[in-house]
Amino acid sequence: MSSLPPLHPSTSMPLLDVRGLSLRIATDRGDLRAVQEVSFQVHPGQVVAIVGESGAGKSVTALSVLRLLPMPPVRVTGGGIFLNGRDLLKLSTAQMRDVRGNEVSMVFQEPMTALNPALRIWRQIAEPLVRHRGMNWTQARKRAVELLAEVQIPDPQDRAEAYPHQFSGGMRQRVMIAIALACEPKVIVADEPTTALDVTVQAQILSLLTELTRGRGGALLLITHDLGVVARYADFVNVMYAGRIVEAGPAREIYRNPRHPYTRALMHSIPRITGPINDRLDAIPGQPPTLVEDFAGCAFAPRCTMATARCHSDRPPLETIAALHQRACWNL
Amino acid sequence: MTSTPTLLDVQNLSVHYAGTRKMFGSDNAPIKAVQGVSLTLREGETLGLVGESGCGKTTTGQAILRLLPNNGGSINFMGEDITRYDRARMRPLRRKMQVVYQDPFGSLNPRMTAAELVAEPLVVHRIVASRAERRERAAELLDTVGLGSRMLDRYPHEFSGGQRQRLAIARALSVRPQMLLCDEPVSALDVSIQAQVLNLFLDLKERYALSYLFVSHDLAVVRHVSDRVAVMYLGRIVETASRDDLYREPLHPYTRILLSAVAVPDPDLERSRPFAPPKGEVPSVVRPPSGCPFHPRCPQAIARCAQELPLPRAVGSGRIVACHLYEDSVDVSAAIAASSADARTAAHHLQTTQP
Repeated sequence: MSSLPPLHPSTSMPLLDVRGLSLRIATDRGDLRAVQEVSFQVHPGQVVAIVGESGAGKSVTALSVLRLLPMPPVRVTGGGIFLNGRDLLKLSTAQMRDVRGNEVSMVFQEPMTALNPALRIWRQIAEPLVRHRGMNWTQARKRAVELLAEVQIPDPQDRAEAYPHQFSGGMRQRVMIAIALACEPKVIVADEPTTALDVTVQAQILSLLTELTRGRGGALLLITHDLGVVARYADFVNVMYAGRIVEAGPAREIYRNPRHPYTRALMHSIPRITGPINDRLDAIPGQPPTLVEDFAGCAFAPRCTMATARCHSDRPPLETIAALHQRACWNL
Repeated sequence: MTSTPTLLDVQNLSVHYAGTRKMFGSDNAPIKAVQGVSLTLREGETLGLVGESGCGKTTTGQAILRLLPNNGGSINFMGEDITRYDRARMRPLRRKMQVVYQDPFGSLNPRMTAAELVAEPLVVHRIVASRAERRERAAELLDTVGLGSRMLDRYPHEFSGGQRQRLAIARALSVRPQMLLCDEPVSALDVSIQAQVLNLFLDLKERYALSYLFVSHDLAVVRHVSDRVAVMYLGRIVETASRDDLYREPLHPYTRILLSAVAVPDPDLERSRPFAPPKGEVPSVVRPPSGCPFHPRCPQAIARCAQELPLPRAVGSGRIVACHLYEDSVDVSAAIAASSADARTAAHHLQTTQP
């Protein structure tokens, strides 16, 4: 596993390098193969997206980067997660606590559950600064107010004293971003950061998040199901299906020239606000597989219009087909 | 289109909720969730009702079906003024107007089988008496929505999200309604499953000449299913237009902002589109702004907008816009010329850069 070649022939060293990651989740019905042999890299200044539908394994992958998954029931069965060259999977719990919120941080989908309802806003932003940066509470409070201004919260001095319930959903997500940015981590992982927000607020939050991370030379790993969001903000896209990356490449390439039948089908199945309207959408028949049983072939084969006998018996490997563009399919 | 009979005619609908009693002070003024909403739905037509959370789109749908009391206005359904109908008088009409909600798990009794769930409305409305006949009808209905009669004896938890939504649709269809209120019916579904359910809605509309009042926050979904679209903001409809007009040339500044905020799944188009995230957030409906509710966020607001509420007016043919920018012009092109050039280019750009 450790001798896998790097995915990007890029000159910069990746900030985050996930290599051959496999995770299983123990359930009543047996082990769920939630993530299988997933590899991707995140370089400085990049917004890298993981797209897929529910159950594809994208959130589990995101959480594993911060080692936020409960183990058990989750267990890592292979691979490594390298942050600035260091394998996070080899760190002790105490060492990981020094990394989390400091070198890598997270923005969750639901700011209301991620924020502490009993603590004032400034306290929650100041906490990582006291914990990781050795600031005293007075210094940290001052910095928290500055961070609130950076995430464009009006009257930051006054609003710093508020509690989360006094904020709107969009404002709470701005606070989450301020917390994630506090220690200026190199990598921010955002798991569906705007799915719970209205479209106008969603545009504000994502523009803010991508500008602030790029502006600092950091990188953003963006987990989303929204192909529009990916098109607007991502440089590089990993498409996940049934626990595996089935296609990866630069965003423009993936949209212009999708080379996996699942990616193609997904692009054709979404309604759009522009372009011609076809009466019927090209829906993908059937449903994704449950990941309890292992199958020999391609996980998408039962729903794929191009599937041949081979697709049901042999799993296609992820192969490079053009510069940085990879896909796992026998036929496309 | 105009020759098709009107199924539903709502005029000046208002819905107020009692204000919450505060611990200190007596601030319990009613919350005006829906104000002055007028809309029509013709037979076989789909009207999309779109807006952000809290804009009153769900409340409007509930009030139209008389599931919520209204505080003003009139609701005319199939030629009857139902505004003051009580439960008993509504009951026969309920057959004609059914609902499909976002979360089928919340609206399907977990202890009932698919067959029982689908046949329940037939019992309630005393349409089919015999058990065998009900089962037969249920099997037909499951077939219609693409579930297959072998699912008859399964319970809701055995169905996937998309299948549960099909089940909810079968249940709504059982009494052969004229109108279906669909409240965010595909919002909880994954995109590949969403497409399947949207196709089903389109098939059923054709097959049964159904009319849909389609409530959603998703502008792409609404475009796909609707014939006409009404855009709501803070309890009011700000623009109503045919689907093609609205998406080709949105007139109300809010509609423009809403459409520009939607990220389009095309990186080239996204990078070439002049895009600035809209300012501010939706204000609280408890204390709405003076004048036009959108004026604090509107890039084209003039002094008058802060003082005077713009009333819905016909602009051009078949379009209704509530905005001071369009008040003096009967001619659409003149109205557009009078409004900001930037917004115009943005909207135009979106359409012309299509492959």
